Amino acid sequence: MLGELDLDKKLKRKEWQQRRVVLQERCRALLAAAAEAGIPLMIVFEGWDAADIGSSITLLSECADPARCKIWRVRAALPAERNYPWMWRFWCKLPGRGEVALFDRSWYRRVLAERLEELVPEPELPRAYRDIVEFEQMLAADGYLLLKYWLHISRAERKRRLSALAERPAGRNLPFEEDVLSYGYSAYLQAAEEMLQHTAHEQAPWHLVEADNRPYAWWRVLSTAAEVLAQRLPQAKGAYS
Amino acid sequence: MPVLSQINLNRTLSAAAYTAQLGPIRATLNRLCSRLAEEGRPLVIVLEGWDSTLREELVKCLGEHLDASCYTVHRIADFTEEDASRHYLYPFWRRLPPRGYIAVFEQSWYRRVLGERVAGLWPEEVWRRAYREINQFERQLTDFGTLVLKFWLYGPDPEPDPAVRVLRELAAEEMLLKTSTLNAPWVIVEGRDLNWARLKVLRAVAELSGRAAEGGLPPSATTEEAPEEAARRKARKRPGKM
Repeated sequence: MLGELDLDKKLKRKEWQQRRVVLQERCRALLAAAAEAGIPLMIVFEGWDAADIGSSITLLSECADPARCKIWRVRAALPAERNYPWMWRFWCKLPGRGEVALFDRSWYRRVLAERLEELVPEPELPRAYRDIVEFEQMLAADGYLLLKYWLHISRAERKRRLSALAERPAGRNLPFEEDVLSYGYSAYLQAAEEMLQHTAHEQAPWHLVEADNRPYAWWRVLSTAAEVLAQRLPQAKGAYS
Repeated sequence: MPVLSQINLNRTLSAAAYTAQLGPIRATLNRLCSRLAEEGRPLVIVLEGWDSTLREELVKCLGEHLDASCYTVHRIADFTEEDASRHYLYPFWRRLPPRGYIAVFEQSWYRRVLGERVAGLWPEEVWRRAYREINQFERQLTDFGTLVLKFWLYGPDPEPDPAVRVLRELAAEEMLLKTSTLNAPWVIVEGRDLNWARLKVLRAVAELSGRAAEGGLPPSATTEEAPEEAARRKARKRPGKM
């Protein structure tokens, strides 16, 4: 599935700068309409450690009403969070009607990082997939809108970005070390492929984004969001497209 | 086949018999909190029934016999705006007890298929879907090792309107049929006699925790990571490895 993506897709920076203004304006209008309609929106980002999820989240959050938008940076569960069923910490992060929640990594950690770190025993894996799909279907049935992105980069691009990050002068480094995978590219790739297969369902399909070229990825993320929102808001479609 | 109509509602228990029978389970109830902590299990107790006075009496009774340091009561009347603006299971997820703690829900997620159904708040497909969602929710709790005890307080319905009473009976019947699962069964507390009801509830709590301790229930989930294992994992992890 991921192997078929064409990672050579590119967008020139200059062209991106031109498109960005229009696209963000459109997203802003659509997000406002979604808030007006009382739709709770959950946008999930998963992908490689160097896929630069942060910049895509920033672009989207710039379009949302800051008072009604939260960004959740999901990393390993805290000791206190381990005293509850694993989904507990995500239920606690649910947005209210008309609010937006952006997830920089999400409940999918369970079947990616936590699986590879052997925190989830293999026999429990089918249960994790089931819990995830049930969770998303429950929310969708209740009117939640879920948008799931997988930001994909090639092995070579990842290597290049990680060494560039490591060479940055100290102090200017983002605290990226904790995000860097402690297992190989192919192990993570395999887990990701499996995850995409088991958790794509009608109410919450995955949007695969070719992210080797940053401007292209940004454009894809924003235009997909606009497309999905416009579909969901037929009345808004006429007004904003 | 209707379950509820076959229940004997005339059970009573004298005060003396109540005290006598309570004796042996007192010790179990006293140790309940430390036992839950040792096993790393949370305990969720649900009290549902049309008679709010009876519900409150049983909340009081549980409070008298359980250690307040590990015990919380949640009433849906206390829910906030934040709870109301989200998925209907959200307020309950948010209020789940951690390992070693007990939460008593005086009315619960079942309100969707009981009171809200009878009141006609939702189209049929919404409350129908809730049976499945509730079972999924409770299965996630018990997968984790949570003990789930659900009491249906079945006595004379205080509702004056006979037409509503019929709807309520129907809703209760269907709820019991669709949500009595092996991992989270309903316990029916019959009649209006307070001593009988108290003893039945306390005994069920004591018995369930006893059964868990004897290994009659699946162990609690192993998401807990020992500190030394975490340290080892950190050491294994080399940033920048490609």
